[in-house]
Amino acid sequence: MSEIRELYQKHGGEVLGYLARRCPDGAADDLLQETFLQVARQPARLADISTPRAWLFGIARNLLARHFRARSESELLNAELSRDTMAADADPRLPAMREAIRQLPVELRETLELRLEQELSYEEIAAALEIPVGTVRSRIHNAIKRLRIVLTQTEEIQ
Amino acid sequence: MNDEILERLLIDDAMGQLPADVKALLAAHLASSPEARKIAEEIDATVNLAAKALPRPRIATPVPSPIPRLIGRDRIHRLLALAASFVAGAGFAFLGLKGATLRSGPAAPMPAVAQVSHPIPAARPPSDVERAAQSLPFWSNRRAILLSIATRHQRESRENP
Repeated sequence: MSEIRELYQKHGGEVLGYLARRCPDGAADDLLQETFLQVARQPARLADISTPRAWLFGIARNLLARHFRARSESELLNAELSRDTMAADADPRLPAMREAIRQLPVELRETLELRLEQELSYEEIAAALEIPVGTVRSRIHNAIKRLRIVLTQTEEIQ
Repeated sequence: MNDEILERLLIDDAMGQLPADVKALLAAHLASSPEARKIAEEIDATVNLAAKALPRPRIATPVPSPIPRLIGRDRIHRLLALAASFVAGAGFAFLGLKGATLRSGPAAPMPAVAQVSHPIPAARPPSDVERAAQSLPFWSNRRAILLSIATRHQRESRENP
C-alpha cells in the first residue's frame, strides 16, 4: 500500500495531466483512480517493474483507449490539441506545426507526444506502448522528418 | 557520414536520447561539417517547435490520494462478489440435493386401494356321488360322468339354496 501511495504522490499529477488533456468529457479523475486501482491489483508486478512511470502511462493509455472506444481514435487524439495548446503564442509557425502534428498518423503522433509532452524516454515509451525500442525510435524519426518538411515549407512561404 | 544515419543521430540528439559517447562523436563531426551543422539546426528547430506545439501540461495536483479508500471499496466489492457466488453455489447445491432426495427417497404413500374381500366358500363335505367318482380310475368314463353330475348338482344347489 505504501508503494502505491508513494507512486501516486510522485506520478499521480502527471498522469492526471496526461488524462485530463485527452479527456474533454471530464473523466480524467475516474481514469486516474482506475489506473491506480489496476496498479493495486498487481502488487507483485509493481515490485518487479523497472519503470513504474512508463507502466502507469501504459495503463492510463489503455484505459483511455477503452474509454474512447465508442469514438474513433482520431477523434480522441484530435480533441487534445483543442485546449491549452491553443494559448496565445508569439511564434507564427506554431499553427502550422500544430496542424502538421495533428495530421501525423496516430502511432507517430502518440509516440512523439509521450516523448515531448510527457518526457518519457525511448525505453519508457516502449514499455508504455508495449513495443520495441527500435519501433519507438523509428516512429520518432518518421514524425520529425515529416514535421521538418512542413516547417521548411512554412518558412519558405513566410 | 551517410545523410540518413546523420539525420537519425541528430534527431536522437535533439530528443535527448543519444548516449554520451555517440554524442561526442557527433559533435566532432558537426564541428568539421557545415552542411551537417545546417541539418542539425533544422532538426533542432523542428523539435523545439514541436515541443512548443505540445506543451508539457501543467502537473495537475491530484486530490489527496483516494487509493486506500478505493482499494478498500474494491476489496469489499470482491468479497461481496465472492460471498454472492458462495451463496449461489450453496443454493444450487441445496436444490440439487433436494431434487436427488426426491427422486431416490422413500416413495410417497400410495392412495389406499379398496380391498375387496371375496368370501371363501365353506368347505363342503364331498357328496356320495363324488366319493364314488373319486374311487374310480382317473381316466374312466364313468368317473367323468359321475363328476359332471356332482358338479351340476352342486351348482343347482348353490343357485337354489
